[in-house]
Amino acid sequence: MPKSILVVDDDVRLARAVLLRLSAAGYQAVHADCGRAAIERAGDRVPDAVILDIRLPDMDGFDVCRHLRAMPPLRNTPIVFLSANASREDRQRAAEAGGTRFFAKPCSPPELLATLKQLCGAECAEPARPTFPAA
Amino acid sequence: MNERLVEPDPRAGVPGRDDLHLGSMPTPRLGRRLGRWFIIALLVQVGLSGAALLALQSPWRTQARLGSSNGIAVLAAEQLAGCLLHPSNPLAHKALDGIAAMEGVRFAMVLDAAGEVVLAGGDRDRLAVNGAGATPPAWMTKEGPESRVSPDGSTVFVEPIGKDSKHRLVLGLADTGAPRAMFDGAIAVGAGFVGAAAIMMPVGYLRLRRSTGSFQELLRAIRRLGKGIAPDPVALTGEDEFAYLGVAFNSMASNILAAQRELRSANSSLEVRVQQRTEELRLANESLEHNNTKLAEITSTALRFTDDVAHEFRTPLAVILEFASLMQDGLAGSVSDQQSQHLGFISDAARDLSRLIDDFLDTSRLRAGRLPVHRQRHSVDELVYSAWTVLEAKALGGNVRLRRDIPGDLPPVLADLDKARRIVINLVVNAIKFSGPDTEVLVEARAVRDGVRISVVDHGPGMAKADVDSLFGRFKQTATGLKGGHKGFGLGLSITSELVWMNLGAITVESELGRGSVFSFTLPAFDEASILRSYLARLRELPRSTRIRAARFQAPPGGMLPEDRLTEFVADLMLPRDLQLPSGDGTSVLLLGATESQVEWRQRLAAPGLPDHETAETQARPVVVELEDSWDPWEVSAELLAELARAPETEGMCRA
Repeated sequence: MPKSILVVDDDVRLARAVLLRLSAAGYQAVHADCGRAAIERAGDRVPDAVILDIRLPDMDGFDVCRHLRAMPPLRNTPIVFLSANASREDRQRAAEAGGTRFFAKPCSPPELLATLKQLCGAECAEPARPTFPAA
Repeated sequence: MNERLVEPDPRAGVPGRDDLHLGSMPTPRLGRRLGRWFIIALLVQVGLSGAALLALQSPWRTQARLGSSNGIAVLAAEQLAGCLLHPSNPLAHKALDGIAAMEGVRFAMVLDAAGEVVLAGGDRDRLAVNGAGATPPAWMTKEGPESRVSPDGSTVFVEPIGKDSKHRLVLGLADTGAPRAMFDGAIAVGAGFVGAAAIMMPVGYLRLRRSTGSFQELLRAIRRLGKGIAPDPVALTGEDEFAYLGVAFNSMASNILAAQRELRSANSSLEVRVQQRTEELRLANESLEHNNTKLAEITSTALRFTDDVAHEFRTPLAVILEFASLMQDGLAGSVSDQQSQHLGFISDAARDLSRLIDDFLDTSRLRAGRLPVHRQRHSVDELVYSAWTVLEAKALGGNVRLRRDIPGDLPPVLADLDKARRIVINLVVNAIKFSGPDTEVLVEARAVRDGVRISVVDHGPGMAKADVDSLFGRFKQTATGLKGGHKGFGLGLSITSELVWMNLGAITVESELGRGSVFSFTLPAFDEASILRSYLARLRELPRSTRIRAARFQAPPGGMLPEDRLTEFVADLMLPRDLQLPSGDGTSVLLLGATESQVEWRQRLAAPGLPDHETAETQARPVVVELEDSWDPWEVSAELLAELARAPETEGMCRA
């Protein structure tokens, strides 16, 4: 069973790149393009890790993080912020909201993968196909 | 001044200032006036005396006198003429002598109808009509008034006597002439005196009464004025001294009241002016506050805008980088070597752009004074390594060999890791940019006095000395404010020098044409003395002489380490020139540079994030060191450390 990663980003292009990268690394990656969708998907299937953007169309990443943290199965799930907002304040707010790590866009793919591996265990040997939500 | 004087009874009539003029008032001349009074009195007296004398000397007066003084003589002569009037009768002569001997009678004669002397008595020598039968002088016997005066001034009195009244008695009066005139004169003078006194005394009395009234009035007015109440004008008429005094007093009171009015008016206009100024000041203050708020809003809006722009830039950049990287990694199908190289160029350019955005963002934050520093203990190896992945990729793209030489025995340094890392990246990227292909760029670190020097050595074209000097001048300028980038160095080198400054370091350039350049920067070693000296050396580059305040904080019993709180505090509020000096033993030294006042210092320390106001107050007893125009960082740091060591709350906790 591959590890499942929920990628929350409203930029579909970037999300696709991350999903491709994760799939290539053997993760099962699920995309959500807004905060509400992210919370829904996390409720449907508890992810092993979450990659979360800050600027989302309906709510900000900090709120999404707090919502996810409020769900008991996700209390200890690694939540990695990946955002173009990379000020110290953003980092601090992310930490306060319950974020596990913080990466600034653009980030180095090897670093991100290394962090994920460290946070949720070894990647799968077989690459999995990424799944996209219905358009 | 009597305060009541400025608040007179409003009901009291205040004479206008122009009512009376002291200047136009005639000056009283007492002597002249007394002389005039004396002359008047004298004239009255002389007049009265003259009148009295005239009265005394008048014919009716003479008549009366004679009538009164010689009545007895006439009576006697009547009797004599009746019964004894015969010249042969010796008794008649004796009787006549008796009459003549009577007081006031000098002589006595009896004339018959023919005017001849029948009898004579008394001073016959004077008569020149001795004996009977003589004829008296014509003036004596001529018809007319019965009383007449002789040419020598004596008076005779003629009275018909006898049965038929044909005889006449002539009496020569003895009291005529000088004695009598002197007596009359004396009486007249006396009468004059008495009369003059009788006239002048009531006049004097009346005048005295008037004067007393004037005096009382003047006294009342003076008392009112003394009590600060405006007196009515003193109505003293005439030309006496009191009138003059009244005029002078009115003038004085009027002057005092006018001065008082002027003073009141000046006072009130002063109050008005003070109020106006206060209001102006308040408005200016308000406007200043408003402008400040507006400025802060504008700054914060500008910063937000910059952040937004940076965010909008970064997102597509991330997409470019991600897909270039994916393709390069073969995740989207196989790529040729050339394609892979081209994808590398795309990634490299995208990363350059990303760094540019970082520099741009930092520059705008720096300009707004909102670029916080987080200096902490780091090792140089950790610092250089954190930049290495990026640099290697960059070097690969530039076809440049990248080497590092970091000895293992370097002391730890105080640095803001992110900023120090950016310095290294900027310098290395710059070196790669100017290096020819297949040359080497070396990053080396060496221990120096007070810290570590990190150098980036390239073998590019190098620079002429003039260019180096100009570049170095630019670095110096950037210590006080950010200027535009140097030609050919872009924004990167400009922000780099700022970042070095914020890390309490110094940047230097050595270059030689044709041999390459060495860009070096220093970081202070992580010990108090080194940090302080580096800090002071940085402060010294500020254009003005300044003062710094230093205080050591200690963890409150059972409380959090102040360092944790101070870090937050510093991150939010501090300017790059301020320094927090964590020592790791539960204490922390805080140095505030520039021109903070004591109040600001306390306010800043009492800001949210610190334990509580009281703790901040008591712990933040600052050691103030004034920096004069010329000072030596070594001396000042030694002094500062000594002061901190001496401070009661930090005693023994700081190496002097």
